[in-house]
Amino acid sequence: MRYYLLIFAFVISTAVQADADNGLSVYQDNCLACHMYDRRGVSGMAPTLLNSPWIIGSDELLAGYLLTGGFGPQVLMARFDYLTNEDLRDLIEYLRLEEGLDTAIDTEQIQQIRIRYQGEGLYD
Amino acid sequence: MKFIVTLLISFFVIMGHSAEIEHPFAVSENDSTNAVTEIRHSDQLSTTVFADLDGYLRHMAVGPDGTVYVAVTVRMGRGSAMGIYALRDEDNDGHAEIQQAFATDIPGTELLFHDGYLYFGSKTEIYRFTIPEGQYIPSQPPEIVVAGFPVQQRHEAKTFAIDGDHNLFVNVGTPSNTCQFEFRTRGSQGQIPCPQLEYQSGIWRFSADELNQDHRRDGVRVATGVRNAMALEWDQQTNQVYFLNHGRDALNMLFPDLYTAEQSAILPSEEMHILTENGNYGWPYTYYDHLAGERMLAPEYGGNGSIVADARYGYADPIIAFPGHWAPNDIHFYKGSMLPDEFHQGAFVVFHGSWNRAPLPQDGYKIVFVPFDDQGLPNGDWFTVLDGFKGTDILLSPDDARHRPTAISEGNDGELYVSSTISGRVWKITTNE
Repeated sequence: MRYYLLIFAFVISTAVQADADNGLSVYQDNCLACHMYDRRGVSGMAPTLLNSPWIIGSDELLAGYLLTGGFGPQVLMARFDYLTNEDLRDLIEYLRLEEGLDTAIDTEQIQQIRIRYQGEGLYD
Repeated sequence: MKFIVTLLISFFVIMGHSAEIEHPFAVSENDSTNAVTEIRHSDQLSTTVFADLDGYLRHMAVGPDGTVYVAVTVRMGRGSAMGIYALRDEDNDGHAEIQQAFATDIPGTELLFHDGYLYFGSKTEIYRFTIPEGQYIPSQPPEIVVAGFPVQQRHEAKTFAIDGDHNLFVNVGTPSNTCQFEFRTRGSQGQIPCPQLEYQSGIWRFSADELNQDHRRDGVRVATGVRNAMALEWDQQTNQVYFLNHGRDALNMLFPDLYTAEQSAILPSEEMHILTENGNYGWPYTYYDHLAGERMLAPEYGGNGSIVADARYGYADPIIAFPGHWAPNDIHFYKGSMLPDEFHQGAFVVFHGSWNRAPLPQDGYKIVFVPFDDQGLPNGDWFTVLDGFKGTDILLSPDDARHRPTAISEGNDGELYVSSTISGRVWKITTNE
């Protein structure tokens, strides 16, 4: 019985663990076209993600930025609310690990932020 | 048999639209990068660094006394200076020892001498300066030829051309990528009609001789559906205005189910056109696909990569098409005698180079010559006259480029000048005598 509980706990923990490898793949499919392979961006067009205050800042602002397309007045980013909570969690995990931070956001938290900002462009 | 026919057709299509050819003045594999000027060219040509300037350079014009004027701008966080540089090489060593800035409160785009005046485009006005006799810097502020262009952050450069009848044609670029309801957002549809076509995304005609014209009051829209015609010039020989359009971005990023990254890197075409009265050049509803040889319906408007645009709208086909994202920033019809006569029939095109090909390597970053036939149309060939600007064979990020060529101008002895945005360099190009 205790053995089954252990397996159960293991399955739960992997299910909620952020997957930076998937985050990289989400990055490549959604972000790389503008922010480039090395996350450095393009001067004057797409801001660098290296040492970005948004990435190392609060969970709320980072997830909110991704879900709404940003907080101006810099060049407007696209909205990424079509990404699942899991993909957003993994993307954030990947971006933060690259900055040397291991501060994951869980999908429930992303869902809350998603609901809070639904239908609102934060940019305005 | 079917295979051979298909092969022949695709060969014809590729040839019909654009094919790189060999030429004595073309860069060949054997040509190495000039260690001083950092560009590559055939041994028929010689290059010098005419000036290394502070700022993000734009177009140029050469005055009757040989002074080279270069516009400089600040845009989207780039650039450190505005206005115009006057460059003079009085000891004729290929380097401008006199470099004097003026109009430093105006962001500069296009420069052109007409009727003794130096015409100058900013982001929202067309001005003209009087250069006093015997001097090379104006002593008075400029007169306003046209004002009132919309303020916009993107595609804001007011490039222009003036024809033999003193018509002034001004490019008013579009403020977006494809007029989606939401800027560059996956799944967002395109607006119908696109409101950005009303006072933008086209070419407007004014008089070159009248002062204080207003875009909306006095401008006549001669062409619509032009995303951004940075390269725009009147050719005296054919009495036509030619232009190249910057094609849209992000087919794969916005429509990953319809376009691969590889397709998105090469599509849509960069198009060359002749300006015709009431011409419709297709943006944002369509784009040109040089591989298929067809104008396609844009995915924001129901296209899927193979639905051809409705011919009833009369969209113009390009007279030659180049691979996507190369960013044609200037076109020049050569008039001088330094280069062989064949350069009088055709045009130089400057490709600033791509940013929107990632994850594939970036491309463009070169200056080509496009030979024309007797009808004033490209014959389908082109060759590279100058390259090596990017400073590396494989360029993944545009920020790693050493130079990005943006404009070409001709001096009074038939020599050429080329400017670079990011590096602020101006080159002088002569034949190797």
